[in-house]
Amino acid sequence: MEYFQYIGGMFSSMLRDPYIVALIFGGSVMGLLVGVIPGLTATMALALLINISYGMPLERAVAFLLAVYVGATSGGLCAAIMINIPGTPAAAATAIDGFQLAKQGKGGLAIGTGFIASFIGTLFSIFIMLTLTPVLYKLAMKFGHWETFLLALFGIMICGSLSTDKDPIKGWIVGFLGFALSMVGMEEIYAFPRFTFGSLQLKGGIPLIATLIGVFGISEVLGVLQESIPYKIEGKIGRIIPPLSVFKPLLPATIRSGIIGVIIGIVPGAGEDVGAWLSYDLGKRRSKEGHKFGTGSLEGVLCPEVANNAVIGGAMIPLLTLAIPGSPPAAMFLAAMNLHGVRPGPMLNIENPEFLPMVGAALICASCAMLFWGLLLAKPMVSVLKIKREILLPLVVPLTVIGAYGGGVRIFDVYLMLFAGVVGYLLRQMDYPLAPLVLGLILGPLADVSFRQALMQSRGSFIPLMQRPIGWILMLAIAWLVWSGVKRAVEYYGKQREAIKVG
Amino acid sequence: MRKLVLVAAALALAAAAFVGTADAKVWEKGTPTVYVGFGAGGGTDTAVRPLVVLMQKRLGETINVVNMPGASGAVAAEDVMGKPHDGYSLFATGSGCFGGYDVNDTSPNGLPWKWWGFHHIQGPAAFVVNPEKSGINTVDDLIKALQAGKASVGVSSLGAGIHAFVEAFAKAAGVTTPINYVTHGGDGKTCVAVMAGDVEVGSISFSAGVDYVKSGQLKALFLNRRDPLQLTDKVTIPPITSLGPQYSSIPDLAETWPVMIPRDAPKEIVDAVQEAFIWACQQKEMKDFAEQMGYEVITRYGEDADRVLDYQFCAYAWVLQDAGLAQKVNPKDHNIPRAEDWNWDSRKALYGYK
Repeated sequence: MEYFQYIGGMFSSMLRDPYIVALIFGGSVMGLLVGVIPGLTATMALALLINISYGMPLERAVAFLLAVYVGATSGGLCAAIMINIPGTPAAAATAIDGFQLAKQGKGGLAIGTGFIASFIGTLFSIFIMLTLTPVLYKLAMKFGHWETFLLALFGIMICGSLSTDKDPIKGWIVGFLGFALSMVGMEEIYAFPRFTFGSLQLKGGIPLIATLIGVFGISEVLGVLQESIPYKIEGKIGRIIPPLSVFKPLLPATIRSGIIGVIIGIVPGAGEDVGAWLSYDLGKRRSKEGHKFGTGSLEGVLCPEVANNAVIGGAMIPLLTLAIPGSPPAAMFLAAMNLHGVRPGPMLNIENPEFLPMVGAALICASCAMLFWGLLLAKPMVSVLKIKREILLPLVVPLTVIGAYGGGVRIFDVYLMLFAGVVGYLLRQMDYPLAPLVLGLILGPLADVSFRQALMQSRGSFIPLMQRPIGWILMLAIAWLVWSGVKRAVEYYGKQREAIKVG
Repeated sequence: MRKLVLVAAALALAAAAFVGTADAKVWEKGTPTVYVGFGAGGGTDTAVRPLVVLMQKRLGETINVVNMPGASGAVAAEDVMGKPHDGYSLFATGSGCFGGYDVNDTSPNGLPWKWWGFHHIQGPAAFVVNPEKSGINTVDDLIKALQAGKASVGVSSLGAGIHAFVEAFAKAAGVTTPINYVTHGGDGKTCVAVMAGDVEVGSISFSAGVDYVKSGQLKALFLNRRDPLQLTDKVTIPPITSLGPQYSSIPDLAETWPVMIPRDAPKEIVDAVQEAFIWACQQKEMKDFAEQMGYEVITRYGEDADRVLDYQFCAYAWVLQDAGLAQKVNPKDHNIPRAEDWNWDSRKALYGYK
């Protein structure tokens, strides 16, 4: 009880400092804008702003950086819903139902639901972080290389089977294409160049952000330009905040997604995107209205958005206790804290007992600011939907170029983005989903390196790896995914054949 | 009238002089950028940023920091070397990377003698164990376990200083069994793997493990430095040289994270950077940062920096070769001596460090 009073005291002390309030609201809107622009990510924003925060007192720096982090993680949903281009990789799952809702004229409702879900997800994870950190950090230690490999593989498989309603095998093909692309470059253990053909630029690997923008952004632009009559979104914007009656039945899904997000946050390396996809999958399977997922379901927006924001609090748990960040933006936050003389790790509670409550209070303030800006800006954002898409999307192209260049400051990345756009366009034409390609690219290196590290650890033998219980749970989950996916594909092709016969 | 013209001319001259003083910037045409060869939030990034921030403060000018990861910093090294050498593009990486640039041919343009280097801090390597999980409590236990092939050694990555330290230790200790390495992609992760019992020993940059040792979750067997380190009232970590005379020849390969500028960049910019660097290293903020991270402020530049980096470059190149990780070039073919044969005067004469 005393502990929560302490957090309450920290919270009110932050709110009494007008400078901190301004930093939180400023940081939050800055983060939201970064999240909205495809290609600009929370990691990038934090990297740029660390130097600014260095001159601030610790409390202000923490509040400012966390506001940017929460804002950028949440902002990605806007572009996903409005133009079907996820602002950040973490929002790719949101695009599935969000964009369908936008096409149905419910873009405002989708954005409102998304921001409220993000708010709830962040708050949920803060609560878990503040209460269960001493217990949960041990979970991070249970995840060795073998479990990390299996989780990464599971992430690619699940995304592959989810992003298409018809044939999961197509999703897996694209997922493993992304995996294969991630093998290009100098591999991380022996620094051996793979598939680089002597090119220094390729030695640096296939850049994730440029590929993400290419396959989602450029391919969408090409698709719209090809259409003789691009679809239009007409009518009133409608309500932004959904009625409470909409949320009540979604409570179990919210709690479930929050738990998934926190757990994925705790596991080093997995990140917001895996949390979002896993939550979307379980939502689809467990919901009474799971069949509506993919056709414009509010629950389909809520599940990934609760989860990707809940990763924030989850990622803070290993960061604060073991100094191991659970996600790339958390790594940036760790670097910032090191600069401020705070050393997260086992001595944190002894040397800086006020730090955890400070992070908790700052995250609560940051989520409130994010919700405020999100709901305030939702209407103007939705009006963007009314601009003719053949005009809007070409305007997006310069932004995509900035986003691609900003990631690695290489012109090579811009060329690669354009190439990825053409590949994405061709895949769309052939009815292949695009999200697994990006997730394969994100998780491929993690899966590859973890697998080989696990074998290094077991001296080349699989037997010691079979003695790890979490590994077994993940292997069974993957086997089940394969089984249910193949079954779905067989059914789909069976129906196709029947239709051809009847036809 | 004439007086008026003279006064006006004098005023104009004074104004020009004033403007000239106000505009006396080091980088007049724009903002310089430090390209960090590793990702945002990583060890190199974290080590370099405080230096850049303090240099900015001294010079009163913004210095951008851009992360350009890839090929252990080689992508950034080649990029900076490929840009005009006008002093606007600087490079930052870990000192352990340069050997790989040569023997793996990843950055033929980024070799040590092509840069001026400014090294602000260094971190000693340490061997850490979890006696409860591994049964290793002393250096003798460690040597026996390594010789019996019963201990895997966790390292952040292969080919860097901490890897070199293990090889050097094993050689001095007479361990003949090949070491089984497990990489973890970061020293913090190596510490967690040792705590969890996934590997028996960790060779780490001590800054990453200092808190685990303080809190009693890990035990540091020794450090790669010449003096003991009293961490707390109860914990003093011995230097490797105290273990016996056979260890005194182990090279001091403590990693540094220099900011570098092409050697042929304009002298006035190099001088200004050097002056700001020296000032930054003297600041309390830098000392505090180093202390809390377990680093040591070294303020190494000029010939001193060239000498130490060249020594590390040679030593790492041979570690890569001996571990079978030199993919393109045998160090011998590039006249790179082993650490025990290294001589600064002959290296200087060969590569013309100036």
